[in-house]
Amino acid sequence: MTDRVVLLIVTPLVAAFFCLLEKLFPRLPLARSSSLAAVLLDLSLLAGLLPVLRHAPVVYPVGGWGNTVGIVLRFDGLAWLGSLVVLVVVLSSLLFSFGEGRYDPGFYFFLLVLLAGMEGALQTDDLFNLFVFLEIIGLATYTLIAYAQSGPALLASFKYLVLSSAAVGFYLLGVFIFYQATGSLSLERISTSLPARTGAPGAAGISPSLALGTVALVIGVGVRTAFLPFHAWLPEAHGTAPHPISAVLSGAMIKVAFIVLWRILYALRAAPLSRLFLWIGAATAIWGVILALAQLDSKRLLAYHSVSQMGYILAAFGGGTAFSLTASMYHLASHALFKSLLFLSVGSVILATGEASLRRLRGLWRRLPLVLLPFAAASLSIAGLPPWNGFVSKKLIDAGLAGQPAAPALLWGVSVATAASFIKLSGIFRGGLRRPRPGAWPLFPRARPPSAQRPAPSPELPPRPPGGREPPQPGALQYLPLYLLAALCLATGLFPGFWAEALLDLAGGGGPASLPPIYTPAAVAESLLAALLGLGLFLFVMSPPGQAAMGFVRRLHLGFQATMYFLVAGFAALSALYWWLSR
Amino acid sequence: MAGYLIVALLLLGAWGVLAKRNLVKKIIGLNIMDSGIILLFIYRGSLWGGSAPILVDGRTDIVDPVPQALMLTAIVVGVCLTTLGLALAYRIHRRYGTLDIREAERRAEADHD
Repeated sequence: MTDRVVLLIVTPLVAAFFCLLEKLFPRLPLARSSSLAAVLLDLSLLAGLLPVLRHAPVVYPVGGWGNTVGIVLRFDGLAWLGSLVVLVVVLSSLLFSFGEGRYDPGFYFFLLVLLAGMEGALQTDDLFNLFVFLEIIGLATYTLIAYAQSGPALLASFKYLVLSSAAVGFYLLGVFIFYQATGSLSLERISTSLPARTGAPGAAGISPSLALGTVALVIGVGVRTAFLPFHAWLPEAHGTAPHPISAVLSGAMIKVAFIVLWRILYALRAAPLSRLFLWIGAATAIWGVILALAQLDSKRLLAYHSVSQMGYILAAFGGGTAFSLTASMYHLASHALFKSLLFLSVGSVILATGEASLRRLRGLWRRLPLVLLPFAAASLSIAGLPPWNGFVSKKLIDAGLAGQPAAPALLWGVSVATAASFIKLSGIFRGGLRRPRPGAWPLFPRARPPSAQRPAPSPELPPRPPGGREPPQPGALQYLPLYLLAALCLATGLFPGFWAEALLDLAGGGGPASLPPIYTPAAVAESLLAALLGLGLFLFVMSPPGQAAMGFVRRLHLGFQATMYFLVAGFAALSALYWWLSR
Repeated sequence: MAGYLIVALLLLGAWGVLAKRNLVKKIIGLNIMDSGIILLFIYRGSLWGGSAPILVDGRTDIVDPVPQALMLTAIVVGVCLTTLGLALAYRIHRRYGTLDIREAERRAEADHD
């Protein structure tokens, strides 16, 4: 029975092998069928694990080696939620890439390796094994980002590779420090041997080397969750990857990194550091949304929103009560659903028009009405409007952070800017009824190129991968995941009580936390007010002074050298802060 | 003494990754940093006992075998990363005609607009 846990990792790896066999037998559709079979099999395994989890986490020593020398997998409620989110997002992206139909077996191979890496990272209880899974995720990700081999994608992939490898260097240093201090690599054993060395958790001080080691581990994983000083890789990588990969990275990969971070922080009893994430998260949410508002590239705008929404999740995690942790898990799941839906629907638009710039995409409601509906669902979700899931999880976060000083107000401000930037993004569907009059207030002042002869959406497409064909118009297989995800967004928004109880149950039952009513008139009015203010902000952004300000904000994007220096500075600052806080 | 030398090697690698703008030099810096970490683990493992970790005849003065096993894995991972990094650097050079990261970023931005 407990073997199922390891089968979750092994199944995608075996299927990955079959994907490569398609290169030997090009007539057989091996890659697509085996990847779909692997994901469906994993989903059914996961469903079978739910009743077992109700009693206790599943603990599985790999190969029968015990806790002292072997590697132990611990499959708890958090890992179950993470696996579910990962599998749903991967399934949707897989269907979308079938519909897109221009990927070779190598693409599906790396996607399955990425899936196996994510499943492994969610389950493992061993610090070094975690390093291996992180690198499996990393290598698959770098390859997939650069898959289309366009210049920006290659550069984004290279930057991400160097940044996260340097961060993993820190991680190994942290592993070294903890192995030195406790003689063990298992998170559970480290956790039990720590209080004896450092006194009661949180009460007595922590030695500088252990503080350094904790922060090194946290940063090694945290670079992939993209919180504030380490965020600059994400918009480039997620904005230039192929569309299904953007959905997997934003929907699943950063969530996995976050869950791993959660694990490590709890196992190392770093409560002061966890509380710090309230402020790091709030700052990340604000910074991400400001930059998102300024973007002109549709996918980059979405990618900056991933930074911002991760800020929400981290802030709720930093709240620390059982209730705000549930809210964090809820938002994790809803963000995974609506963000992958956004990437896939904007991806459909880009595929159909060959254009990604908001300056040129206009009035597509007539041409792509079937994409408009799921896009609208996802936009309403992320803007936090009822009855979509974003509304529920944002209200839960508000309620979970109720006792905190400034954070809820800050997050409310972020939701105003989120609404504004999605009004901006929805410009790709709006309008187009008549040509803008020459003297009119320009919504997109530089929309007309000097030639003024450019036909509205150019039929040219971005560079194809080698051997690519003419892209088909979106087919049924491409719409299926869009509507599936939209239905899930609605379902998780409609029955908040049921889902929140299920999450509490999964999290190990922090007692029957009384769930406040979600759909109160005040809450609905508050979110409508945010949307209204967002409209005002949008109009400001589109006015000439707003445009000038946004041009300035766009230049605040960090270059690579600055990102690397921030990595080191952030490491030093965070270790000093943590050591000082836990004295 | 050896410990300090290893830490110096690690810092040297980190400096290479940070300060060098050449893509290939960044990858080499990453490699040096990795080597520093690997040596650190091996050095720590060798502090106990002196003989090879083969358990026969109740010998107990063996070195700690765990770091060696770990670092074998880390070396393999490092080779994969180096290969991929160099391949990407080569492609970037073919695309933008430069190995300087700032120059490549500038040309990519110009491409983008």
